[in-house]
Amino acid sequence: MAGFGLVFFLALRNLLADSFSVVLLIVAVAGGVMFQVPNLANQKGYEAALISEGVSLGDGDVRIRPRTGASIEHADTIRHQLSAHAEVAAAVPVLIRPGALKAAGTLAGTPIFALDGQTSFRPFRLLDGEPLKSGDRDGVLVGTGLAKRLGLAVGSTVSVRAILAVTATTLDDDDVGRFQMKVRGIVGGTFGAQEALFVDRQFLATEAGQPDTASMIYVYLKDHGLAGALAERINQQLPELQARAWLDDSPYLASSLQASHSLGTVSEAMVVCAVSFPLLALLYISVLNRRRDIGVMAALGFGARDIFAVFLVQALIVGIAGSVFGCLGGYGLILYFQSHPIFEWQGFVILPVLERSCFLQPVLIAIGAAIVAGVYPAFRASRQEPAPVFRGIT
Amino acid sequence: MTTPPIARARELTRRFGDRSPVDGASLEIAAKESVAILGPSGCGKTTLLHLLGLLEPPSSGQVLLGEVDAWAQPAAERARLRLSYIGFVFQLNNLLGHLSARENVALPAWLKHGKRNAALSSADQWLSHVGLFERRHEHAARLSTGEAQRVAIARALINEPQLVLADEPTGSLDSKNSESVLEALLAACSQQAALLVVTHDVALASHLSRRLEMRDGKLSEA
Repeated sequence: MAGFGLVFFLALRNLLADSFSVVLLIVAVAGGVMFQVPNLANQKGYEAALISEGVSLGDGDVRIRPRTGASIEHADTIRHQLSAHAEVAAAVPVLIRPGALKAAGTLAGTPIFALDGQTSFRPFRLLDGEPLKSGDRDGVLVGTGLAKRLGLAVGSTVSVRAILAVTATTLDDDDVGRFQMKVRGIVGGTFGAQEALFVDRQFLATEAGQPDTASMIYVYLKDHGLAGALAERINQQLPELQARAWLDDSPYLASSLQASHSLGTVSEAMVVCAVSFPLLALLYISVLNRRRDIGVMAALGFGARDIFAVFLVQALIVGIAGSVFGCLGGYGLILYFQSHPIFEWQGFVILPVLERSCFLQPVLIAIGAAIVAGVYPAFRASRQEPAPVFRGIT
Repeated sequence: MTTPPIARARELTRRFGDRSPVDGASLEIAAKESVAILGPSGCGKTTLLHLLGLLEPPSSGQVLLGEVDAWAQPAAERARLRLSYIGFVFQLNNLLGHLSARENVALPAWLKHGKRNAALSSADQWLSHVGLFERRHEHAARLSTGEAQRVAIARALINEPQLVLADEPTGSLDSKNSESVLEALLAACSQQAALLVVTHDVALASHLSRRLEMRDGKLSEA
């Protein structure tokens, strides 16, 4: 059996003998890698943005609701308990009431979210104005969708109506709060914030006569991957509450991520096809063009396995060289997409993620595809009978 | 105890459909013997050479290299025999055109011993033997036909085979180059190997110690 040095030498020389073919081969692999590297980086960026919108700027990693009834009593005590978990970055009680917003004679129904003004973990992105201060009785943050429909801007005065009683089967005037408020800020967020109102929890809870209650508690974690385990622990520790991890609680988010993964898999399959078919064709043509050389090698004492190895290593060299060029091109495209994002809307920006796996995965796929594509031509080369070539029979 | 012949063909037959270019050919070649097989084009000389060189399987019959029934061996062992026991010189030199003369010659030694540098220095020595040391870095494709054939001889001999098989080694050369190639071949082979040359050139055959004629697929003394 020929040593690797000899096999590599012959494979390399075979490739270099036909520079046009080798350029085509490398371009085929490099093209696939160069396409997939920024594609994967953008896909990861999209998923990160999605999680950021749905979790970090949404309802948190773990969402806690009362098992029975509509309110969590002693919400601040529970918040402190939850904050004691090492993986928890913040626990944010949220009081949610149905309501409406009236401005310039137009009334729009909207959910009202009341949360503590001081927290830096909020289920929205502040696009304009300033956040609410703790105990702000007059301030309101308005979602972009609502603001646009009602023609609101920071500083606008609005009339807010909130249904304060959530357990009553009938409503009377006392159950509906009416407040003149000022728009302190305009907020955005893909997961509902654009159509919602945000007020101070202390204010709304006091108005509702339930000063230490919440409808939900959003728990924000340092690592999104720990949400499932923490939810289980919370369910055991606080049986009167129901904790759900974000993936279980948000079917839209979970299915969006699943869809993104599926698209990624389709893209990988396309890369495999884009790399392997041209490679197979070009390597096969190379074998046909080298029938005489293969015959000479057999006559010199190269066995079938040696010849197979030479042609397979050709595919490997092409795979590696193409991957190197593809990674360089892919890196350039990532830098381009970082300065020119593929999607940007109201602060929701998809930026490619520059991480090792964005290169490693396409490289492994391309090299794997190159090797697979090289197997058949190498097999044909190894099975070639030398005598017909020397007789001139093709 | 007598030394067994270097190579023996016993009742070798090769059929292609209803045609048998080699039909019951038998032959023995002793060490350091040089044998010419004469015959017109298409009479089966090259097919016989391929059968003896383990490049083409016989339809029936045996090829014994020393005491080894070569065609009864597995493919890997036959490859090893081609590497160590046999050296080939083809009519059209059949060098690997994308390698230099030196690399072409070194290839069998590198394959056999796995040592690149040793193979290259051995190649340099063989190229000196055939008078081409100065041209050792030239790409095979740029060598003249005569030079290429001498490189092919060096390549055939580098592993010091017991049997050298040459198919019309001067067939594509002018008379001056023919002489030079033949001299190189005979000089090299007289040191170590038995030589079997297939040719239709009677003048060439006259330089060899024994001449056989191929007729109707069989061999007879010429």
